[in-house]
Amino acid sequence: MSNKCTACQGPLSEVAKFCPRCGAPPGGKARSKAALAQATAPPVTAWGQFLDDTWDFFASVKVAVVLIALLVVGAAVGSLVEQENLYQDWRPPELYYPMRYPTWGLTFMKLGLTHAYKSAWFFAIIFLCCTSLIICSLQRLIPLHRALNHPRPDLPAGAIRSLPEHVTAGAPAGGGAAVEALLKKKGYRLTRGKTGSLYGERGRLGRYGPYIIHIGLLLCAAAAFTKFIPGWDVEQGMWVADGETVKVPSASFAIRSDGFTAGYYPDGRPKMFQTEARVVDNGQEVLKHTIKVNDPLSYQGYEFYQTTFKSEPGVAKVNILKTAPGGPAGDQVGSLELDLKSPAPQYQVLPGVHVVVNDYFPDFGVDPSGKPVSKSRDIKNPVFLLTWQDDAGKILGRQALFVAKGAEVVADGPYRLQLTDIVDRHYTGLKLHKDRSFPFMIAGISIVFGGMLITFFLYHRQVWARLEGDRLILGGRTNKFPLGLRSELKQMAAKLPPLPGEAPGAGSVAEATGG
Amino acid sequence: MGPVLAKGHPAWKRRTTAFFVIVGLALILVFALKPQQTTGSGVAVGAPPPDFALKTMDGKSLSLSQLKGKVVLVNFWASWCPPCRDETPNLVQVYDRFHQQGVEFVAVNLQENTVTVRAFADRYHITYPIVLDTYGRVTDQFHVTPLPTTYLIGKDGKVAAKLEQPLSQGVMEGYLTSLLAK
Repeated sequence: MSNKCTACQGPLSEVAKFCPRCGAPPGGKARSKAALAQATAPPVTAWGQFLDDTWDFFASVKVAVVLIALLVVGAAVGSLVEQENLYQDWRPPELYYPMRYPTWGLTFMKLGLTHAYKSAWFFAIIFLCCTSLIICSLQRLIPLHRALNHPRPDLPAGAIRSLPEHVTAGAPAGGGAAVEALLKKKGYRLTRGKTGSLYGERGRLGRYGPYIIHIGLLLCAAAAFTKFIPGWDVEQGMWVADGETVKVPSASFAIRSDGFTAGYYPDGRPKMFQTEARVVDNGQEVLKHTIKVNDPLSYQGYEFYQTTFKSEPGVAKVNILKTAPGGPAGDQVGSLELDLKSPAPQYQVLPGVHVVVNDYFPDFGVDPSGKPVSKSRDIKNPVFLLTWQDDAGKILGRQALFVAKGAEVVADGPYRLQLTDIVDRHYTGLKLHKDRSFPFMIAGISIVFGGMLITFFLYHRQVWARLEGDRLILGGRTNKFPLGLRSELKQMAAKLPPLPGEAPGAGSVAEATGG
Repeated sequence: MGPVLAKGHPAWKRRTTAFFVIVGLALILVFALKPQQTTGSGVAVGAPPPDFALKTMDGKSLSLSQLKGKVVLVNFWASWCPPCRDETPNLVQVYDRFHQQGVEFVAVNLQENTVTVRAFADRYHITYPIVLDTYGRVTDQFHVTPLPTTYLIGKDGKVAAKLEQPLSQGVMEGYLTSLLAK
């Protein structure tokens, strides 16, 4: 025994829940294919429902606005609370912040407000913003893209007349070909409809402009995140003494200073600071640049800024005296220069005689137990403990050399060193900065800018034309600046013959209307 | 016939959402598993310390990675720091006892000249290797504020402790014994 569908009278098996021909349930009415599919699709799983809800959440513009507001607030907090890498104090953060913000210091630290741009919550906000940006874009871009790629070239005359902008003119002598030529001249890409209408389109890219801006923004966000990659964002201070070559940390080259100069106005205000800097790569001088304030040296993505300078005693100039045993200081037999930052372990002073530096105290003092010590690392009160030896290693005498003018000579033996001068050493303080994310940031900003130009200045115009007897109906729509399209349509109509029954030149564009 | 329409959103939307959900969960996991810092600054306890290669007194290069798999004590010091001078005899004695058992010491000197450091080492009979942090970069990397500061690194190559005070022999022995036992 066979059943029949009540809706279409087609055959229906006993177990069928709906008619295979028209989709009607037994005893019900016929359903559309989409409704049928919806009715018969497998139920949504909890995971699927969760994904759908998540999508809808992020696709909401309201959510996007809230996220952007959060981002702004987070960035503002980061600029209001003094950041860990920026404060000028020797104290570590856990000592500094309770002093800087009496009640809230430690709370700020725990919340990550003291390193806002590297905190988990800031990271999370940016991640959510990027998610929202991508999902919002896809939600709108995919249907837009589909619609733009499937235009409807066929439009009946009535539909063209109901477009926002339209004109009616006389049919040109050349027929359809003349209309095509007219539209082509205006830069329209043409598609012929199957029912005799003509479709032209221009500036479609303009519709994609906002999404190009979004891609640029995402690139900027990605560039910001590269700061978390070790070695991508390097900022470090370095001291270079005049004439010294210092290897740049984390790079393969070195910087040499051929001299630091400070200039002052007569009233004592600083006029200029500059360093004659050289880049030494593989032992070769490859670049010369005078680093001034706001005029850094750039090499291999590194930038070297002039930030500060200092001077300290650099070299002690001494005379070598030969003395009769027990007698006063005698004749000068030579001279020597002792480096006060890093003295050599020994100096050859005369043929067959050298002086060994047993100990060196840059800031000499005596500790409570009576031992000689250096009180600090600064070259404030330098003292050398020296032993005079001949080439066989026999000790000729000892000396404690106090590098201070007028200091007493404490020595025995036939030789001694006597201070004649202390020459200062000048250091330039440079700040090196390398940010590898920079080119990506520039690319991101360029794309954003390009996207803006496209969005604002490229109008997407769509026009349809149809010949109807001795009349030509021309209509169109645009996403922006409808007045421009209206005047364009009017211009085109002006080149066409007047409507039948109207005098040429006297208001030939009879029905130019705006929506 | 076209594809059967499923209920809810199309598959590409679900795939995109799933991607963000998974990336988000992965990020949460990374943040959760990252070793927590004991203080606001410094090398995190439980994380591997930054590697360095510095010159020893005899001009050889010594790097932390060379000592991988051993218990390492890294001591930051300077001759002008009185607590460092108090601590040095303790370091010397503990090193004598523990070096045989596979404990390595690295004494990082802060920006002092060779003559001063050598004289200091001679005066205190230091036998463990001293490296010269001429530009203070390793000291910066390890976020050393007070001197002396000592890092203890376990056999697993991770920081076991950061101690910002001069250490007694008892304290050092306690740490080293427990790290050797692990």
